Amino acid sequence: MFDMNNLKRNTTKREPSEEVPSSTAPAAPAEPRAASPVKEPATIGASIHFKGDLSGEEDFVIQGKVEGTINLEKNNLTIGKNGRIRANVTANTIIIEGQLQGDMFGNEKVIIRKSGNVLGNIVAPRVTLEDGAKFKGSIEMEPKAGEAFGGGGKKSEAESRGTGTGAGGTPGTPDFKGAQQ
Amino acid sequence: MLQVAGQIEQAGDPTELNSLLLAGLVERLAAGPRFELVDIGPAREATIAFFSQFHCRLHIEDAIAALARPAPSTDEEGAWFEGRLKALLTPPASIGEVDAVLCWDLLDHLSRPRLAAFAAHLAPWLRRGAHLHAFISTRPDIPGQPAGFEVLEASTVRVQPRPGPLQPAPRYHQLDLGRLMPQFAVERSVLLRNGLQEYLLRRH
Repeated sequence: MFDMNNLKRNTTKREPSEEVPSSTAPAAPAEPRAASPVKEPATIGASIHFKGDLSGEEDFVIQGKVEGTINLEKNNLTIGKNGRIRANVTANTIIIEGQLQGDMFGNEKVIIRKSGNVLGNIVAPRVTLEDGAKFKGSIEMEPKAGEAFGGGGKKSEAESRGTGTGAGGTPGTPDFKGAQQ
Repeated sequence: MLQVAGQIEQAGDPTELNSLLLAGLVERLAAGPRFELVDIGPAREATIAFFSQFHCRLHIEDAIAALARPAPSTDEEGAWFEGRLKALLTPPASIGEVDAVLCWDLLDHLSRPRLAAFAAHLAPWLRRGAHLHAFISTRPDIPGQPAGFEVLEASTVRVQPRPGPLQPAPRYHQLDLGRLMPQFAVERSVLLRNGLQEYLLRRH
């Protein structure tokens, strides 16, 4: 059975009482300020082996083993250095630092870090591979409209070499359909 | 230590090639709505960044080093290499529709029988009129291992030689290629300043 305790949700929520009073605060009566929650990605830890379909609406980091499918359509997936994935993956941005065997569909981009080892196919508007990374498969290059050459225009050099990690996630709860091993 | 210009560069330092035929090939490929390309070499950051400008599918085979390796025994060389080809060069789903293959310096590291087997294995992947791009050394000796290549711009390729002892180069000529790779014809070749002959072959 899947143990939710093993899903490390690194959500840091600062309570109003934790607000540090400032010695330079104005004398005017202070209105209670709502603390803005800082949401960090949910994480599958290194000791977890998950089989099945994984989907959700927040960013996700996988350090364990996952077999099946992963669907984070609007959010970002990071496969950590310890991550071992055998799955087809859909996400906004996919960052691979570990091992992945399967096809990747990145709505925004796919980034393979130098520690990454990927066997599979990639479909994404932008693909970045750091030197030292291992990749075998095909990359379907689909530059966004106005960015492509020939049939669709050529991206600028800066655009084509653009790198970076994904943006923060949106609230939501990951949905697990499968079995933990 | 006194260093004289021209001697500072070590054997393992990367160099940049002005690759005229590759530039022409890319220009032709980019003129169409979309193209399909096979890179026999390993995945390289700059190459992927370069081709990400185009509507294309880039197949990365990462097979050069393994194909250049000697067989465990000379007795089983033929069968061993055939097995390596099948295991390492898995045909893309779009077999018969590939527009171009980038071989870099692999041909320099293949014996005559291996070169013939490689061409026969690869040819069905390509559509008629598709191209094979390669560099062949005209020098008597070449590094023992294939170099690393990456595309910086359409006309600029960075070459990273691998350390190690030199070995005799096969020095394939146009006639050799015609005999050993009958599925292809040499369309153009250009001698580059560093002694590499750049070849563009066309699939019959």
